[in-house]
Amino acid sequence: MEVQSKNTILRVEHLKAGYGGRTILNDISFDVKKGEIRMILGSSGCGKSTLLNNILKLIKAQSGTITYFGKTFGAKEGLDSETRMRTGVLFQNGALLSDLTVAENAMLPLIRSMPYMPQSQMEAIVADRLEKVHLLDAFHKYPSELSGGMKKRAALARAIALKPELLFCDEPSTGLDPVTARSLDELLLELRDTLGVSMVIVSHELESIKIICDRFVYLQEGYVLMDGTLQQGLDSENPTLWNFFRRECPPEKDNNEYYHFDFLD
Amino acid sequence: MTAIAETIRLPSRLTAANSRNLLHKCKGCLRKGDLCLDGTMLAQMDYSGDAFFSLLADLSEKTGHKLTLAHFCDDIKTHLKNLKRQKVPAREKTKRHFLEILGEKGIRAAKGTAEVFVLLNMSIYWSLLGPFDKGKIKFRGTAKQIFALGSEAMGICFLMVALICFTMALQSSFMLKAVGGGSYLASGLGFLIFAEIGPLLTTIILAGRSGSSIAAEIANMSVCEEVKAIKTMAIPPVQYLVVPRFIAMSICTPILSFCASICGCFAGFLIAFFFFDITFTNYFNSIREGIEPILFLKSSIKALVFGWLVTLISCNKGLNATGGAEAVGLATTSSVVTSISAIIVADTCFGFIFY
Repeated sequence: MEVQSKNTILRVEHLKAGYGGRTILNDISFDVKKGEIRMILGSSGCGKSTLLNNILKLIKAQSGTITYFGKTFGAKEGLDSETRMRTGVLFQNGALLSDLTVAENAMLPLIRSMPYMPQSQMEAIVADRLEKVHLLDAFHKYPSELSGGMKKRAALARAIALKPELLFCDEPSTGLDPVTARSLDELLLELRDTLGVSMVIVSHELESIKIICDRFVYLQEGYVLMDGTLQQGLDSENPTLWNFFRRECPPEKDNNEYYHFDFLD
Repeated sequence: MTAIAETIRLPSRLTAANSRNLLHKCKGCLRKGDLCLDGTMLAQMDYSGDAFFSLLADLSEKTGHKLTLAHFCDDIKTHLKNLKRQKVPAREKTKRHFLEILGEKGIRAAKGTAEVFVLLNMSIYWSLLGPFDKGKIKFRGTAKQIFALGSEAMGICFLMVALICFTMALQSSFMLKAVGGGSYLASGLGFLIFAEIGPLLTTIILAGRSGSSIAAEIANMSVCEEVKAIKTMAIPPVQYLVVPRFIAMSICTPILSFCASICGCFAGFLIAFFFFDITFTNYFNSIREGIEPILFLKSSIKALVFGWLVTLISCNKGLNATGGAEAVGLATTSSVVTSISAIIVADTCFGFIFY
């Protein structure tokens, strides 16, 4: 049995998962070390979000284990509250509860984990987190009053409310303009440096990947094609990775059949 | 003997507008024999041109009749030489046996019923345990739901029950007048309203109004990953989403049903007063004689159970919604249909138990 490093805070082993009878992920294994930004890459429809949902135990896997902070969970087991409170999740569209204000949204994890904490103290913590994501002005606003980028930052404030040790982000910069996307990437780096939080980020935004990625797992057709550092990915001569990191389309194979017409001049 | 090729002259512009009739004509000719398309005038063709020529080429191969393109300009000739053969993928036909479909529907119904019972169990657990749970999310949950699901449905419930009771009293008044039984109107009507019409009609209206709103709201939250977000924060979705609605409906439905029944009695009084000259005091004394106090309890229990059915079925449909906007619509429709069916089935069961 492999000895698990103390530095490893998440380990996914031989994960097999899918929907209904269909298998989407096969034998996925990788780990996340303390303080690193681990990215899950791949083309659209390769199973990145399914993998994230399985790691978060939002859907049940077919087989395999996931170890959080040294505690192993089987395929059919759910995560316990303690583990959930040590992690934060930033969903693709923010997933803010629309009937609560930004502050109330960010307060939800605090209420759950520290029920005896006075309201004023919770508000102070939330204000601090909102300031970290540069969104203090939106303290009393509702999600419907925010732009796409602001919603993501508000959701990030909620995700880091409990200063999690591990943060999961599902396509954080997708759908944002380049400037906002860049500022969100820098914010994630800042959070890693100031809070020491490790991150698992699902993305296919090359600009973001080049800025924030430490190590990555590249998924192809449900399998891990490559597990390595950003530099290894950039240097790889594997055609799929070459195309992905250089944004080049693979040459189209001409398997087409053409009509034959009889022309008469 | 070989058939002489028919020649059709193509227009200067082959467009979607003129290619339809032309294609029909060309196909007709090609089915009978060889075809020659004269492209002397053809200078331009729009997006429909490729499909026009490929369909004719396909038909030519199928029938074995020769298709000749004569006097085409070089541009179009080059374009047609590079025309790819497009294969439209065949639709997968999965013919399923009637029993298989029936079995699947049965399993789905059984699963849904089991889920509603699990939800009921959890809702009762969290409703009783909720006040002692310090980590409970308190953001105006139950009070807001009482207002949204109960108070705002008051008007429509009272009006509908009153109108139906009015019509019922009117219809029965003709018959009672004929047999001289006008004095039985109040007692009969009162019993019927409290035992049946009040709880049944109120909850059916609530299923359409409040149940659909519950299902749509939760389904939208499921689709927008908000339910997932709640789970990842270690908050049980039942505690946050179902319990406030469950408590609100548990409080509102019996009260609404009772008040709606009173409204129904008042509507009946109008008929009693105008058709049988029964005074207000006599009418209500007669109702009092026709109703035993236990009937109020039975009526409230019925309303409570019907209210639970509406809430739990709607929440369950909402929580199970997956996909996009379509899933929200499906969950809403399904919640109303299932709730009303469940209410009627439960009402039949109560009929055997209570009366």
